[in-house]
Amino acid sequence: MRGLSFALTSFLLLAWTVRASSAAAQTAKPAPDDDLEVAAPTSVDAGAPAASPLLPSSGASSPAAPAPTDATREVAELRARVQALEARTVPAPAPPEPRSEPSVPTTPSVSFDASPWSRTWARGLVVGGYIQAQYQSSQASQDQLDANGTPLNQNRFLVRRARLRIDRGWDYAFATIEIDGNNTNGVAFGLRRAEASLLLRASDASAPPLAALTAGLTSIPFGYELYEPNRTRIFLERTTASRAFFPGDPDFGATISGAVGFFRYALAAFNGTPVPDSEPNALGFDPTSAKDVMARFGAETQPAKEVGVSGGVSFVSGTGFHAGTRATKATVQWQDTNQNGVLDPGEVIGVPGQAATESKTFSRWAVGADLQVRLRTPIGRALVYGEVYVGSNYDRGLFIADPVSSGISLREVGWYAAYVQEVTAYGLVGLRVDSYDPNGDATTQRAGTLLPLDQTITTWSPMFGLVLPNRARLVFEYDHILNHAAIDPRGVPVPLPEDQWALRLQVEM
Amino acid sequence: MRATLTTLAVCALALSCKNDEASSNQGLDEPLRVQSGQFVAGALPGAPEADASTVDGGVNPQVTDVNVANTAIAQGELGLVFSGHAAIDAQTAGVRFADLGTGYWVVPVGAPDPSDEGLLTWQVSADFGRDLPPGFHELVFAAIGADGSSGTQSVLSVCIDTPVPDNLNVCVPKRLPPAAVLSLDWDAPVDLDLVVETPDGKLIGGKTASRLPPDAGAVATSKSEGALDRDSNAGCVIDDIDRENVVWQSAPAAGEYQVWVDLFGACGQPAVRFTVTLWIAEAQADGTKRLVKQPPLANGLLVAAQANGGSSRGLFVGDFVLK
Repeated sequence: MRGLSFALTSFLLLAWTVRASSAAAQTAKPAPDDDLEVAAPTSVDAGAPAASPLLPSSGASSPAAPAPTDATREVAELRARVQALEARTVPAPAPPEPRSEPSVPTTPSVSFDASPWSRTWARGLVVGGYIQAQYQSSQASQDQLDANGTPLNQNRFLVRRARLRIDRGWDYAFATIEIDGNNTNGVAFGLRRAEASLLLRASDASAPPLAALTAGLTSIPFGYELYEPNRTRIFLERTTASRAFFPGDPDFGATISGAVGFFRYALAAFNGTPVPDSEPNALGFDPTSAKDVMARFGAETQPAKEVGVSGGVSFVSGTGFHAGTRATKATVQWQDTNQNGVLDPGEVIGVPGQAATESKTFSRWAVGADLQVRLRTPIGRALVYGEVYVGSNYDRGLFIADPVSSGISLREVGWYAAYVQEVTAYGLVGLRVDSYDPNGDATTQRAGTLLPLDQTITTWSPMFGLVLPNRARLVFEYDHILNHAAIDPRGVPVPLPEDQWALRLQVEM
Repeated sequence: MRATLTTLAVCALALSCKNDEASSNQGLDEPLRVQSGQFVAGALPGAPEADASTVDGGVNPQVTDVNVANTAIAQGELGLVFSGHAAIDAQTAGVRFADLGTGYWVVPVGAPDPSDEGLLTWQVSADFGRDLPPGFHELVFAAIGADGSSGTQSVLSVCIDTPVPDNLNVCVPKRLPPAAVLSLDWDAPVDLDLVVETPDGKLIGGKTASRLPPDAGAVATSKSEGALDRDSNAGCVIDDIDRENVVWQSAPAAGEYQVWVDLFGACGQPAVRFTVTLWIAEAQADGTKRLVKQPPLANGLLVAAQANGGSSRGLFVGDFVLK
């Protein structure tokens, strides 16, 4: 309830701020779909030349004539109008397309233009995809195995995502299926998206639908970063907080979303078990009958000629699961009390069987607010954006929250701020700072005294890249990670070195 | 404005980089590994015990006592618990081998012990490398205060046992080692068996394995009869010891001994490399005896297709003559 109040209050504030410019919101640029390879409508370009006048100028193009009568003048005007209309309706012959250069998708591969909340849904059959191949290196890498036998080496080549997607759009329906292959944690190949949708399209074909009911394995409508397509996100991965709250991008559920003017909305119910694309064995099975209910209310507007603003507030409330244990049989156990490696008298004990313990559920929630500002600068487009998360028992990916085990509810806080800038159409630079505190009440013990423990993880991520517009992107990102996972000789928490960098090549299909 | 933001970001990044960091070496390849401990590269803080002997009671913060159930440590031993007390101004306790490894481990000290003048308790659970040199080594302990200072170190002498049963002769030379030990070791988690045929035609090992605890002394009907100490990875229940020994506690019968290595089960592994080595008790200059490793009797490779489930003696690898 607290989350809902926060969400509504934030939304009303945001809506008030954009009310004055609501008229301009109708022209907000549509976003590229998540990994969608469909032709996007022409973006509104603040710097584009004015549209051609409907009527040609008279005089120069008109034939010379004696002093016209009213009738002849009217005929001449009508003729000119007809000619102008014909000139507009007859398409110019398309230039031949060289075979070596297939048609380029007009959907941009970076999300400078608009937020994904202004997705357009194309008609027809569209097949597409992309591949993200990279080399990555980490300070935490070691040529050793962990306790589970998993290699600790992180210096390696990687296919982070290889996506193939098919969309079929109708007037009132839409279907999407997308598969993914990667070797992030061993070779994984599986379903990334399977959506069945009913649409109520807007009269403007370039606008997002007034309403869309989507069911299946689909994107989770929470905040900006989670909903932003992996394809268009300029930074290589989502922030730590986002990955902790939502270990996977999609989940099984149903969403009603749409756009009315500047207003963007989404209401959804999900299983609450996001499916990570990097886990070969992720099943996405929901152990609870209760569903996670969430909503996002947002707005998109263009308050000035070269400035676009969008944002929203989100909340989610759901039910977590604490797994019980199975019954055990009685066993015999050897305890090497004197640690001499020899079975001595008195060192064998019987361990009685244990009854099964019941599973339990617990409530969890999260709220978030996001804001994006798009600018057109002399050297290219820019995007300044950020997001704040607050949650309770909502960490499902990093420090997995289980208040049944810990005895207390865990408070999580995360945020990020990012700036990315085009440098002409062929370059990118950016910086992102993100922070995540998985437990605001964490404590540690020193010499018998309980002390507060800061577990915040802060990451600085500078990046730069080279771009072949709409075709390929080569991005280098360095993540300087400041955690509190180690102690110095005095016992004071210090960062455990785990900086990492990656060089990723992404090519569209 | 943009330039200002960029400058601020760069400055913030530079400042953040100045934070102290722990070593990137997590110590997984160290001879001593402490569970839930923090590895720190370099020398252990504090003054050596010998240097501080002139100071009455040592200098604080210091580890005041060290307790352990057994100072005879097997190679590859898991979870040996050391505990003790530290001065009340200590924040952590550190430990390392004096002569092995590249750094030390620290653990935070625990609650005060009301039964011991309020001294702070500490405990480490230590794992030991499988290739530690046998013999005596010193474990050095130190307490470290909040300001990084450390007082007098404490030293505990421990004995690293040999990889083959020697009746703890390496630690207590007065104890007689076995007269001979034939040892098979290998490099993969497979069920590999050592089979020996004695001069009188008796078969030791393989399916007829008798099992002896290490250093438990001979339990064979006669001390001159060899006995197999264990069936490592038996039935593919992996113990990761990957070693079997035939032990003769007293002088074995003279004659020719023939040796086979049998891949009972590959346990999913494609191949295994093995070595067969004979250890003989030899007299030392001080009159004691010590097991001395002889040149390898055999090195070899077996592939999964050679697994036979004990249907034969396996691969004949050689013989040796005892006089």
